[in-house]
Amino acid sequence: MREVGIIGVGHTKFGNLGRVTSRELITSAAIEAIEMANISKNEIDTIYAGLLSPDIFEHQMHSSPGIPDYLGLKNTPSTRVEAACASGGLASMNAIIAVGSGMYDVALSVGAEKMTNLPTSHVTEALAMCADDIYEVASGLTFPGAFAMMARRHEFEFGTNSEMRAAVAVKNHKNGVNNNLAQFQKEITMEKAMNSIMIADPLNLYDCSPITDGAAALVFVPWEIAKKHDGPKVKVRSFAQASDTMSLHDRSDLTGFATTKIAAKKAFERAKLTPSDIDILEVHDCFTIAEIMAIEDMGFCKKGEGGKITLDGDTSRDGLIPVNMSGGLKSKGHPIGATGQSQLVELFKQLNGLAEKRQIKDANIGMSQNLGGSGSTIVCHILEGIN
Amino acid sequence: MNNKIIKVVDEYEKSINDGIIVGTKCDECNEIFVPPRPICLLCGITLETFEKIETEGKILTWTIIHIAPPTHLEKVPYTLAIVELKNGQKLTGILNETNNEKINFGDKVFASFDKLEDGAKRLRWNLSS
Repeated sequence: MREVGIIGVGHTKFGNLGRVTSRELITSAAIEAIEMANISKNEIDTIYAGLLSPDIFEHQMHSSPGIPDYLGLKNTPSTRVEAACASGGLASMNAIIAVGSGMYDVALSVGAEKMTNLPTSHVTEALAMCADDIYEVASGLTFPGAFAMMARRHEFEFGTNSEMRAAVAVKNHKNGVNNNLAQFQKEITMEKAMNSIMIADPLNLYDCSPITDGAAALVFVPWEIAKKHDGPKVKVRSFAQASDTMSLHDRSDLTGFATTKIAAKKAFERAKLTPSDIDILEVHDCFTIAEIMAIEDMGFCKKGEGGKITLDGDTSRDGLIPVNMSGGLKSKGHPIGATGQSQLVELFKQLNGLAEKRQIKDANIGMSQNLGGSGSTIVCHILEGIN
Repeated sequence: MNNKIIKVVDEYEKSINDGIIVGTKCDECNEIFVPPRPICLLCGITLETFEKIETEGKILTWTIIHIAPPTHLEKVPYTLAIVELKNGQKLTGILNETNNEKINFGDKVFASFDKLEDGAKRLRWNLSS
């Protein structure tokens, strides 16, 4: 496989964006990415779109041709990729494979979700459909519920308490203040984070990411082209994907994800890197406990110490390994299909010195972890800045 | 040529409606998979034998759901637990206790089967004490 680079990114504001469709959001993000890449849109050979469910949120199936349609591209191949909340990361991975294989020279990866059309209970139901319908959803399991059961078990085995989980929320909301595209740009106190309404005990409102509209986009080209590109760029050092059982109860470990361990290990091996080489991390903090488990499973701390090192400040912007400088899903928002791309957009900006007030000095190598379902799908990417 | 369609979900749902829980048994490995799987995780053969299992177990973890989908709104708050059965298999189901203080790791539970409005039954965990 030939090496692949990214030469353009786009990212809409995340939040409740009113009457707008996911394909309009995608068009907005894609135009920005195409302009940054300084290419003609007609050079795009293929499109991969991360979309969880325009079917349920917008009553629109067959959403993928709507993207080249609105971009004014005639007959361009366009494929929707659905892997629950990892749809975006997996769409990007397929764009990388498409260019890396030599089949295509320019691949556009987009992702979006328009979630705020529905009331909270209906969004809860739509997201729950990413769990096992027969053995989990029929009993009334929700995603906050699945992560709540893991949080409770994690606390039982390792002492990861509500204060440690709240530290994730407080940190990510603080980071979100510096991201003008984030849904929430407001700091929260530990007291507020620990004393909110219960969603799924022991997870309260501030343990959970919000319901969000938004889109993000990336332009992938062969690295041979990207390295000569007069503009911001990153090299894709590696990617890896893993899957696990649909049902949480079918796993031997309820305090982490084998998928994260496997995908991260493969991504490190393919890039010939270790956790100590990573300058900045964007992980899938759909719930506070998910960030804690991610940094443990990826090898940035020992199993069971993720909560403690968060409380100690090791994952804050001045810490050993800055995590979720974008604000994470927690404060930036979580428009499902866009989240994987949004993580890569943040890494792209950080690795090119374009992250404004949230810039981490000398960030050169960044890593992402995008999670679907109760960890049933994981996609990791490692990107390198070349300056 | 074996043209048989593999069906494990239907057998499981029928068993719940009959007030029992079945899994698929691998006659080679002597392992029973619950919920039933079509292929043995140990040796890879296709499983065709269904076997009733013990319906007592212990609580591995639980949550009390306060924000529910429309299908479960009238049940809020309700508790869900992952239970490890006597032979090591695990299942998720509603637990008949919503007071967090009364639930502990390792608590013994037994299964019962609630009849729903549509006539189908659903698994429920009950604290033994």
